[in-house]
Amino acid sequence: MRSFAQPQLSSDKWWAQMLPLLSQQAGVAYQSTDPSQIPAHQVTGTAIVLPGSTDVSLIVQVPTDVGPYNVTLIRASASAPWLADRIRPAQG
Amino acid sequence: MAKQGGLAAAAIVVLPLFMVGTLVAGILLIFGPAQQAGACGPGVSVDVTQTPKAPVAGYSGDQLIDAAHIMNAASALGLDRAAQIVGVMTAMGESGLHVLDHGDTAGPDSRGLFQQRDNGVWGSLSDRMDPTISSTNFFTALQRVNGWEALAPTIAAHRVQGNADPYYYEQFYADSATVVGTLAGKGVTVCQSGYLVFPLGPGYQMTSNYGPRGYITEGASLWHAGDDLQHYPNPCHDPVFAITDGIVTVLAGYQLSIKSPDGYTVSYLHMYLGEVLVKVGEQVSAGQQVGATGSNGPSTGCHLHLAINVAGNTNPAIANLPRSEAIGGPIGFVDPEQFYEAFGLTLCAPDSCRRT
Repeated sequence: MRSFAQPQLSSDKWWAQMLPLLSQQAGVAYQSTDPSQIPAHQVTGTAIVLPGSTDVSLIVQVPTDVGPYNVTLIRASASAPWLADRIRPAQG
Repeated sequence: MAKQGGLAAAAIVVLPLFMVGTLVAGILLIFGPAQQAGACGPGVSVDVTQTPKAPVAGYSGDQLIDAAHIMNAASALGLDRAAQIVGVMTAMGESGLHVLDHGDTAGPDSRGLFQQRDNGVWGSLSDRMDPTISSTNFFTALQRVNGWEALAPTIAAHRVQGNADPYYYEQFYADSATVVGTLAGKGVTVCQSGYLVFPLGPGYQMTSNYGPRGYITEGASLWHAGDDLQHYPNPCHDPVFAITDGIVTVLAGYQLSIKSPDGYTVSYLHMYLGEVLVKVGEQVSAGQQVGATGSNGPSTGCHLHLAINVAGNTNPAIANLPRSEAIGGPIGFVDPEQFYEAFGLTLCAPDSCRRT
């Protein structure tokens, strides 16, 4: 989330930081995202894990300067690194 | 409306070409022959003077005329109904289907149905305010997105619009499909989207629905937290399709569970594990075959028990559905039929699905 919320970076630098943190589907989805358009600029507190978490998929809610973001994390197994699948402003 | 900006992204190419090729190849693999979602059909044109008088999915009057202009711009370019749905969905997200003469904080210079910016890519102010010209420019940009047909509709829209949130347009898909289907004049034939598809091939019946029920068999619950679906008279070894994207989180006993990126979990029960095609930790796509119907566990015959648990759900359309514990059931489930309704689809349509 800290890598995501860096609107001051160039698209190339932002993507170079983001791509290793993303799942394959997120790599497709977030391609052509302009970091300067991302409203969040800063993480402002401690993330919480939402109910329904599992060994291979969970959602953390991260407070930012523009409100909470939900970050869906996935991994192929309990020993694999977590990857971000979606990074979205909390809806509703 | 248009909370996120519509920045032209045409100039932003950030992935090396070989990586794009790898990603596209990955998508083509995912959408292999066992894909359940069907094509939407040709993009018919619409008489803009004959749009419905009554609201459609909450849109009415000039909004429906603008939707017709968008559809006609797509069909004039030879694009199909899937493209029409992407166009109307995008305009719903950007402008609420109004020809806006103002922008927003993300783009103060954005104008029109698609909130196209004053950066030279989208033509003059009058072009951007013209429903047909702005739509044509949107679709021309969409056609330049390599392999857009294989992308989820919201991602295809994002590639053109450069939204801050690639998934922003997903929430407008169901309404767009309804409006396009209605204006096309063939009734509300909703295309199965990349977001939600049916778990069995067409023509299944529902043998037990959601809610309290009597004694069935040893171990079967008296409060049925899902729907039982099957094809009669050959209900066994029938392909079962993932209804949404997600990660396989449980594969044990007679249960396969897949957790959506939106947090809710869809469970598919009574398959024999030897016939399940996915493993825990595997990423699956909506419409991908995950196994075949069986009669494993407390069951009196081959069928699919489809259950949806909303613990950890982040999708507001789903969060509003009544939960099972509020009506005397176990904790955390919603009615699968109401779940499909929230996406504009009918799980057990009267003309194709018999209730027994």
